[in-house]
Amino acid sequence: MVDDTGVTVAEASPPSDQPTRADALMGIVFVFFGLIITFEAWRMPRMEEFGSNIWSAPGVVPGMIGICLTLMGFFLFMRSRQALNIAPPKGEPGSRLRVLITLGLCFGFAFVAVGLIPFVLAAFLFLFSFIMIFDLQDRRVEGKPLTGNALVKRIALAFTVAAVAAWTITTVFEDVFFVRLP
Amino acid sequence: MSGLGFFIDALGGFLTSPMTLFNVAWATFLGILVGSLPGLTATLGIALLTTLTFRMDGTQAILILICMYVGAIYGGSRSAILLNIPGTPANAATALDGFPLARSGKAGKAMGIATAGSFAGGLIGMLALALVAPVLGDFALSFGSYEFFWLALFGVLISGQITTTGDALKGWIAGFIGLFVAMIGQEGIHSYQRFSYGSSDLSGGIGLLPALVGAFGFAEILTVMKARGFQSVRDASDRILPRMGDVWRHKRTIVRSGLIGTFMGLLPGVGEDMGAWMSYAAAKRASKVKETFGKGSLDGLMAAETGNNAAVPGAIIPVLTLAVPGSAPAAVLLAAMFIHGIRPGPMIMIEFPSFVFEVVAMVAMAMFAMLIIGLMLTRPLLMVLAVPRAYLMPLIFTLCTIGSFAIAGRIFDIYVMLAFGLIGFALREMKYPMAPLVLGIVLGDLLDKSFRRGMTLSDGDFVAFLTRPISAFLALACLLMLLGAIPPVRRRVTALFSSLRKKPSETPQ
Repeated sequence: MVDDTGVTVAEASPPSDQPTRADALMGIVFVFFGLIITFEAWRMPRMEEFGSNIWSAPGVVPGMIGICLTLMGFFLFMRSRQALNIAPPKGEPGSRLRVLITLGLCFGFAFVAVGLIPFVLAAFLFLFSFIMIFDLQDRRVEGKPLTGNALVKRIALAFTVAAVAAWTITTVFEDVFFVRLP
Repeated sequence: MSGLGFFIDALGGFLTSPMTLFNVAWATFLGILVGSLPGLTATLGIALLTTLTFRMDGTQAILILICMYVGAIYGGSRSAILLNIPGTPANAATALDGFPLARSGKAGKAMGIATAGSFAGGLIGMLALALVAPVLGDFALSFGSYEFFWLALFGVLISGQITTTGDALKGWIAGFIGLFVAMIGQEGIHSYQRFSYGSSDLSGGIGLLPALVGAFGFAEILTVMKARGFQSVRDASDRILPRMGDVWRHKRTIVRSGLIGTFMGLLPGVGEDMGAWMSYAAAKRASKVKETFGKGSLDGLMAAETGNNAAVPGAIIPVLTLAVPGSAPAAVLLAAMFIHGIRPGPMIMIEFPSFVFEVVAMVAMAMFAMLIIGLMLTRPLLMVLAVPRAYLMPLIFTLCTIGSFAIAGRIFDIYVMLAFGLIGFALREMKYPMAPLVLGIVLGDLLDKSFRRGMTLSDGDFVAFLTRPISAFLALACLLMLLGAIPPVRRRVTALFSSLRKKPSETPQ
């Protein structure tokens, strides 16, 4: 939602509550998820052979949670099934790409680089690539793409910020607060 | 020693220790920074700071975390006023009137009123913490397995009901997902490994802190990066220090919002967000100029900020007395207390009676630090909001990665953070609230053990869960909440109440 001055105001409003296609699909997901939990809980030992009360068996509460999730998923699906035919609303242009780039960079850092190369180097590479990619993209979106000297200056700034931040974070955590880094 | 004695003792100790004063100053300042930056919430701030402070002395660590909590909830008002983006979800109602005020050249006045409201709300909540916690602590001594089972269920249900707007179902689903997450790993009665599938990492269970860092940190980073850049008001050249007359004019709003905020904080998993929304709604109802709300009403701004800050001490009350968090940040505070060897719960007034009043003194220190820093450093804080997100978000993610790893030293916890970040982002996009999910994770173990112990004690007779007065009351509350979610029942109850309301006015005087 954009107000009369072109400023986004959606952040300040309580969320609306119209059933959506995603709700109907998630209803189905929750029904299956709940059924799987219930089945797995049923397979857990009953502990009767140890003389324990059957109600103290480890699967009792997970089974109840699974049944409740199945029921709630069913209600969610029933309530929003008409929305299955409604096309999902189009998001803000470029938002999906921004999310995908962020996901790629974050997973690349936390899932691949951390533990594989020294933390300070992994942090530097992540910070530098994140800053460069989004800084350049934001400039392009604003209609002010960087070229020539301005681009070199921007790269130098990103390099400095990434190097200083990676070194500072590593030093503060390891040497000041004695926290072990991955 | 009396409660007042413990409080004065603790406050005296804090005020005469330069190290404590230094810790209060930096932690509150950091909290305000964290709160004011979109993408950093109070929950994430406390979770990250828990990893930094877990080697410190317990009292100092909890003091630092409380300062971060108070600072962050207050700090969120800055970006709500200047950017129209609530720094934390608790400041969403603040933006409704704060941003229009800032756009009309009254950013300084808005920040001053927000600071005064936050301080007053915090003091009301603090008073309630000092008065209610000991009473609730004594009362909680009568709780057994039956009561704790219903309390845990009530917590998940009410959190799911209140933190969503009109749609309890999504809140309950989030809460039950949280309960399921708590079931993963070795259970406490037979030591059976549930949902572990031979993985030694899963058998240890899902850590609360990595899950929270993912759901509140990584998910927030994705949300911030998804949006386009934002427009801001950075001119705060008008007077910031609020005039006493301006504050006194809102005395009724302050008292009402302080009480509502504290009560919302007390309810399990409801917390600051609803403290602000409920206070705002009550102020609007009571106002003679309702039409100004949402267009720059000082009363609306005062109500929202008083309500959310009153909820902070309010949310600490059930943490101390029942080991049930009143909000998501309070859940991290609860986890931190366990890490430092403090066992909150019904026994606290017997085992650590002075600790409850130490916490009251900690809240007092944090409130005064917030008032001083908030009023003195307004303009320097504006510069922080100018840092581009392309520079800020990767820094936050690096901290999230370290924060997830640091406490247990397991790479697996980084994967948990990533997974919960994805789940949290997807659920948020579909309007599922995060607070019930957190509460489910925290209360899952209590619910599980209490139910199975209760059933064992009663030899499988569920009626035992309904015969004791407190458990019967909580069971009735759960039942009413469930019935209230069924549309035909809700419609009939609403119709019944409106007909009852009409009747007295129809009677001739």
